[in-house]
Amino acid sequence: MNFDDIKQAMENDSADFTVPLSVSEIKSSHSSLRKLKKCIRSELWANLSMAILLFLQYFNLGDHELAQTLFKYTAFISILSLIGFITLQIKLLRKLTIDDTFSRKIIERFLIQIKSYYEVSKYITTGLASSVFIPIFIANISKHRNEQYITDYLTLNLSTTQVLSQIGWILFLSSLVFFLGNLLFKLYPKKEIKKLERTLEHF
Amino acid sequence: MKITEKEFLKKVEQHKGILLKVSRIYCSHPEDRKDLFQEIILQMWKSVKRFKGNCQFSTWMYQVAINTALVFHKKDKRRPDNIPLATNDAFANDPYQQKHEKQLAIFYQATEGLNEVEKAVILLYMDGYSSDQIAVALGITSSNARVKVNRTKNKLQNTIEAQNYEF
Repeated sequence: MNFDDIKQAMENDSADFTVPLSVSEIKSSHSSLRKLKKCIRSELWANLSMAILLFLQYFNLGDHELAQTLFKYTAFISILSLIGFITLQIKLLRKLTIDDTFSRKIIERFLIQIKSYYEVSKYITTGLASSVFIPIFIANISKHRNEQYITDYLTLNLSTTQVLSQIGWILFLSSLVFFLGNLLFKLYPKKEIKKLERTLEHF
Repeated sequence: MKITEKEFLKKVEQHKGILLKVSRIYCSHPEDRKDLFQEIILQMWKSVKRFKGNCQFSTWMYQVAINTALVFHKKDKRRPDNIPLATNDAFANDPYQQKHEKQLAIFYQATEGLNEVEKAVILLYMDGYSSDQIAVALGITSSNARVKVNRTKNKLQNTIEAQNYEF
């Protein structure tokens, strides 16, 4: 096979593609990287919505001063954790870019960053979800109960069955978030990660 | 590198051939090809600020284009692994088909059987990169690059010969 002939033909080959007049004209593509970034971006928006939802619960508190104070404390912690996680997501989105580093290193770098992010996010999301439920619980309880009930509730001045059922609820909701997160991960990002891993195997 | 969008796109236009070669070897479907072509431009624009001018713009462009193509997984998965190459008749019936065009079409069809890394290897080899330069570009050892170049060439040759072609 004469590669020189083909090389010449490649040089002379003309295609009907034109360089766009502006970069903003370029629409989304099927790149694995773009798909993964889209996933992370959706998660980021979900977290922001969660934070807003959490803030809105404040208006459900009515005149309960104790509930308001407790809500502010717990929501403050949850919001701080959420901001921390959102910062991590933004940092990752900025890091995931293609440059002129040698090819193998680029794919390895992507895989390490994305896999560690998803590994960490599985647990962070669960933790965040649990912490977010606490202010929401407070807001909802205070709507229907008096201040004494809230004090009893928070000091765990309840029967063992009630305490266990509350712990059970929080564990159940956190596990639900954990499994839901895993399910979503298997549905979408995992496929793209597998594709990148297959490419890496070819080196 | 400080560059305006207009200047950047002008430079891309000058070296458009690189993008065409990369997108053609990585995607057989015209839609996928166009998609990859645009994706490369976008990725280049995102990373052009980090280009320090240590090498020629075209060299930098080539590296970014290959890296983008390696992580670009096309949508079309219906294509079988072993597609028969274009038949002799298809070219014989068309009096305007030139020898080079025919060779090129057969060559690109044969590359469809290569994996992503082999495609990068043959692309760089065709552009006159030595095994050592290919090794640097892809981040593999020189001996691995040499093996890959020979293996890929043989693979292509066998695919083309298996379809009763010779050039």
